[in-house]
Amino acid sequence: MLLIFLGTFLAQAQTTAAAPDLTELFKRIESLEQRVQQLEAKASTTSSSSGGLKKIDYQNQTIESNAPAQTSPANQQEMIKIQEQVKEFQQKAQEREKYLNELMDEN
Amino acid sequence: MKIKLLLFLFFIFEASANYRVGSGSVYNFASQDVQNTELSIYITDSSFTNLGIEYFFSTKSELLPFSMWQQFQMILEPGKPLHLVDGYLQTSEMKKPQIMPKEMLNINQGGVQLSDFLFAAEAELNPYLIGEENIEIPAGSIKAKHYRKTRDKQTVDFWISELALPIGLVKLESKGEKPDHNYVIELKNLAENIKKKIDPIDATALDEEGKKFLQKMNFK
Repeated sequence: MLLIFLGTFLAQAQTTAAAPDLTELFKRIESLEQRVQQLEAKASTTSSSSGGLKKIDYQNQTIESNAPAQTSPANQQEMIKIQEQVKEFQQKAQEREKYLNELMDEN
Repeated sequence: MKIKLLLFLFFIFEASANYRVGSGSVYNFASQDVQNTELSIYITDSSFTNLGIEYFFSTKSELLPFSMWQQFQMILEPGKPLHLVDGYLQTSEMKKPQIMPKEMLNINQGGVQLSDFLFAAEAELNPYLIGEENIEIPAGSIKAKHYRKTRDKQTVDFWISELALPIGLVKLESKGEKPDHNYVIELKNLAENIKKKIDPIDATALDEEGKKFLQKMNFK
């Protein structure tokens, strides 16, 4: 969703001087999204099979409904940081969109 | 949502001190009213005479997410039936666990009881054996023993495999006239090294919020 939004935004922004900043922003978010996917894939490797049944090591963590239980504490912290960064970039993108709209209104 | 059914979901073959703390099972739970719900059962304490088990019940609905933990401490004395001594409750809204009153520990009157399963030796379950079957569950494919128990108007079909110990249960289908007697539980995955949520040392007396919660959940 975020990438689609930014893609549309970038297409509009190509006509403005702000385009280089947004391209950089887009690349950074894409990189972060890839890192999240890598971490999620890594976390899933903690599961194994026991007699043909899937088995997960919860690594001495409590079971919580909203967090992937199979993710290690270190990975969880890193994912939280990345999610915060993505949120920050998302806010910046929204600010740029607002600025772009203002410019378009003026023209 | 009816959760009193949780109390009879114990499936442990024989009294033994070999229940590894942190091991257990995670199930998908589905009924007519409840979907997208997980139930986890795992060992919190284990010795020759004591066994602690914790349940974690959570719905992942975006509108009404719900999480609840229950922990039960039990004593087993040779030649005596299972003795449930303490129960604790915590929800995502509670800062500390709360102590369940003794009178709330023996529930699901008239239905299939905790003692029907807990510490039931395989020989005791044999009269209820339907046969051995290959079944497909989210955790994989497995050959399991199919049993059926009926009490009053509740019939419970359940499948047990030694490959799914310590809990043993791989699938359960309950049917009955009461709405909360109709549900299906299937093993999603086995688990190890789960940290318990409830520490009885932190537990406080049941407060008004806890009482209202239990009443809402149909505890009498």
